[in-house]
Amino acid sequence: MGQISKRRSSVSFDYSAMSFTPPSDPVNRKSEIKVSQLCELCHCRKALLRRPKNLQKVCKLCFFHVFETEIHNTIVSNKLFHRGEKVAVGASGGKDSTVLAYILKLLNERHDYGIEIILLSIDEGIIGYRDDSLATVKRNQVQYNLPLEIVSYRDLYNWTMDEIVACAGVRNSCTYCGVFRRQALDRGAAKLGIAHVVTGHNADDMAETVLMNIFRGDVARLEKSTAIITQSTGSPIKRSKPFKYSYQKEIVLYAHYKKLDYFSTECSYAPEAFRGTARELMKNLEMQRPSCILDIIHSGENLVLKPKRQKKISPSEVMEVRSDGAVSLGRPSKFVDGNTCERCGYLSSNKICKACILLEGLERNRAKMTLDTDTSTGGAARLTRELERLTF
Amino acid sequence: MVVQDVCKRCRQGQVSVLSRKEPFCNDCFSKFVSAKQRKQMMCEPYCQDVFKVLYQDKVRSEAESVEQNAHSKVLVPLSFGSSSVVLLDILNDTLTEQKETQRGKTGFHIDVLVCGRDQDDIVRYREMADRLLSERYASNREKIKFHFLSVESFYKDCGGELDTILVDSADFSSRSIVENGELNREFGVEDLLKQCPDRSSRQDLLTILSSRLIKKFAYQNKHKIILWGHSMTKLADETISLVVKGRGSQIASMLSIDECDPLFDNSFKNLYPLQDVLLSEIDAYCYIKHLDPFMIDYIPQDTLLVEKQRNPELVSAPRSVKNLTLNEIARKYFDDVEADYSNVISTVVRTALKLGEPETPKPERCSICRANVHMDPSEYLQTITVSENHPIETTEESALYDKWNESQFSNQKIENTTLRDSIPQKAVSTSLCYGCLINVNRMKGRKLTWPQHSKSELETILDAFEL
Repeated sequence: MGQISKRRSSVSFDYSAMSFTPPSDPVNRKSEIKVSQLCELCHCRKALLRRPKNLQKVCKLCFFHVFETEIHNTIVSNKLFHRGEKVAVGASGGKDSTVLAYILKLLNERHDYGIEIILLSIDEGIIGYRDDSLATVKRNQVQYNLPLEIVSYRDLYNWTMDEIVACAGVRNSCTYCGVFRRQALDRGAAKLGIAHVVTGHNADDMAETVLMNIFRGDVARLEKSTAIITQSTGSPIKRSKPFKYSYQKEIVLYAHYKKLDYFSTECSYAPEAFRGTARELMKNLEMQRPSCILDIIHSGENLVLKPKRQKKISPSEVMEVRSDGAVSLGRPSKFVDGNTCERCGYLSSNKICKACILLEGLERNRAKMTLDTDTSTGGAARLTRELERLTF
Repeated sequence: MVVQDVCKRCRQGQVSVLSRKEPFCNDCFSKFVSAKQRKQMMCEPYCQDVFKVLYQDKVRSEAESVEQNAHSKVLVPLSFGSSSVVLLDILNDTLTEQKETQRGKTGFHIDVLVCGRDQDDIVRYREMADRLLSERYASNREKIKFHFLSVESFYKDCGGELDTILVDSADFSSRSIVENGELNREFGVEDLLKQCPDRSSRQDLLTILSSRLIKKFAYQNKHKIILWGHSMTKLADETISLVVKGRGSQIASMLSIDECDPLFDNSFKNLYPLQDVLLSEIDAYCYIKHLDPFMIDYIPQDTLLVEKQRNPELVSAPRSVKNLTLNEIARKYFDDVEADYSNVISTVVRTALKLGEPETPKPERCSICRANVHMDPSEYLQTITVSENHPIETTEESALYDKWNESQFSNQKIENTTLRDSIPQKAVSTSLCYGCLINVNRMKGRKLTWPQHSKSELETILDAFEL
C-alpha cells in the first residue's frame, strides 16, 4: 500500500483523461423497471401486489393510500364519529382489530377526527389461546400508546369459556361465547363511560352473514345484517364497523407490509360447522369473481321483507276459548326496540336475555364437587400446548 | 335406513323412489309431484280463472264463460331440460283429465316457446317437439302449439336502434351512445357474448336476454300466465346467485305472484308451478314417466331411484371451480350440503318468497335489465373503491412516470379517455342497476351494445305528464 502511494506521489498522472466506472455489483444490481411493471395507479413505482378487491396491480404506497382512504371515506360518509367522542376498539389481538386500532389512530391524527381511542379486550378464559392473544394486545397498547381495559368472563359471569366447554360440551361453544362477548363488550364500555364500540368485522364477515341469514331463513336479522351502525334505544352504547367494505385479504396484506404485530392462531374450540360451509362457498365465489364480496353486501343492503299480510286477529283483551277448552295465550305482538332483560337490565328482545338463560342452564349443571388437582377444565388448548412442548 | 318394500301411501305398490325420507311407488310418486304443481296452479283466484273450466255462475254469463275458457292462453318456455318437460307433461295430463271430467271441455290452451341459439339448435328442437306431439300429446294436439324463436331476434327484431353503453373506469358513471346504422344491422348475440370476460357474465346476459324475449312473446300474444319450469333447487340457486351478483333487490320482482309483470303493461303473471319440487324429484319423475328420451343436452339424475339407471354418462367428470359459473357454484353448494342440512334449499326459497322490493319514490329503470334502480351504483362504488394514487415523491419516480407517459401503455389509457371525452355531445348519461354496472365494467373495453328501450305511447305520455 505504502509503495503504491509512494509511486503515485512521484509519478505525475493525468486523472482527467480517465473517467471512473464503478465495478459491477452482481448482488445489488439495479434492475431496469419495465413500463409494464409499473403500478396501475401512480405509473411511477413498481407494482408489488395485486389488490384482492379488483385485481389491480399496485405499488405498496398506493395500496396503503387507497386502503386507508377507503376506510376514511366509510367513516366520513356514514358519520361514524363526532368530535370529542370516546371510542373503544374491541381488540382481540387478531389481524382485524390490530389493523383497526392502528388505522383509527393514524386517521384520527391525519384527518383530525378529534376522537379518543381506548383498547377494550375481552378475556373469555381460553387458556392457550386468549392468554397469548391478550399478550399481543398488551404489546399493541405500548406500540400505539393507547389505554387498554380488559374485561373477563370470570369477573362478569363467574365462568370461563374453558369451564363452560367442560360443562356444556364443545359443540355449543360458539353460542355461549358469542352471546357473552356481545354483552361483555357493552359492559366493559359502560364501565369506561364510553358510548361507542368499534369492531373489526370486515367485508368478508358481512357477506358471509348475509348468505348465512338466507340459508338459515333468519328473517328477523335479514334486513339489519349489513347495517354499519347498530344501536338501540335500550342501550346507551352503539357499535360500528369501519371495515365493512374492507376485504379480509387486504387487511392481512396491510398488516404484513406495515409489519404490524398481531396474533394469528384460530380459536382452539371448534367453529360452527354450518358457517364453515358458507365460508367455503364464499371462497369459491371470490375465486370466480373478486368483486362478489361487495356485490353480496350491496344485495344485503337492499333486502327488505314484504309487508306482512294483516291477519284477522281478535283483539288481545278477548280470550278465545276453543271447542276443546284450550285458550290461546296472547303472544307478544311485535319486536319492541329498547326492551331490556328483567334480570340483568341488558338489552333483550325477550323478557329475559339470552345470556341470563344460558347462565341459568350452566348453573344448573355446574359440578357440585371439584377435585383439587383437576385439570379437565383447563381446556383443549392448554392440552395442545402441553403436547407441543413435549420432547423425547 | 331400511328400505321398505311397500309404498307407504297406498300400501300396495312396490317402492321405486325414496324422497324426503319417504318410500313411494311409481303411481304415488307421480301423484305427489303433479299435485304439487297443480296446487301452485290453483294458488290464487287469477290462476284459478285461467286453468279451471269455467261455467255460468254468479259473476259471469254463459257466453262470458265460454269466451274466458277460449282466451285462457298460457305460455310454457321449453328448454328440453327435465323441469320444463315435466311441467308440460303434467299440464298435458291436466288437459286430458279436464276433457274426461268436463265433457270434452278444457279451461286453457298451451303455447310452448322454444328459444334456440342458432338454426342447428332449432332444427333439433323442432324434431323433438314433433316427437313429443305425436308420441305423448296426440290426444291434445289442438290445445298445444309449439313456437320457435332464435335468440338472434333479440337484436334483429328489437324494432329500434342500438345503444352502446360505456362505464367510466374512474368514477363508474355510465353513458350511452346511439349506434350508427352499420352496427345496427350487423351486431348479434354472438358479438355480445364475445365481449364477455367469462362464462358467468355470458350466462347472466343470456338469461336477461331470453327472459325478455319470452316475456315479449307473451305480451304480444296476449298470454295470461307464463309457466316457468324452475324447480325448487333452481329457484334456490337463482336466488343465491342474484344475491352474489349484487341483484338482491330483484329477487322479489322475479318471484312475485301477487301482481302481474309491471314491465309489460301488467298483461301477464309469472308462475313457478314446480317451486315446491326438488330437481332430484323432477329427475326421478322423468324416469318413472319415461320422459328421459325427450331431453336435449340434459341427463336426469337417478339419485332418488331405488334402482339406479346404470347410465355411464351420468357420472360426469368434476369440473374445476374456476370454470363454473356463479349459478353452478351455488348449485354445487346445495348439492354438497344437502346430505347434512337437508332443508337448506327449501329454506332459501321460502325466505326468497318473503322478500319485497325496497321502496323508492320514483326509481329509474336499468337500461339493460330494466330492473328498478334503488340507489345510484356509481356513487356507491366510488366511495368504497378509491382509484387515486399516492403522489410522486422522488425524481426517480417522476422519471419513470415520464417514461410511462411516452409509452404505448399510456396511449391505451388516453384512447379510452378520449373515446369518452370526444363524444360528450352524443353520449347521454344512462342509469344502470348495480348488477349490470358490475357486468359492463368487466366487459372488454368496459362497453356493451344493447337495444334501446322503445317506450310505449302510454309510457311516454305518463313520463311527461304524470306528477
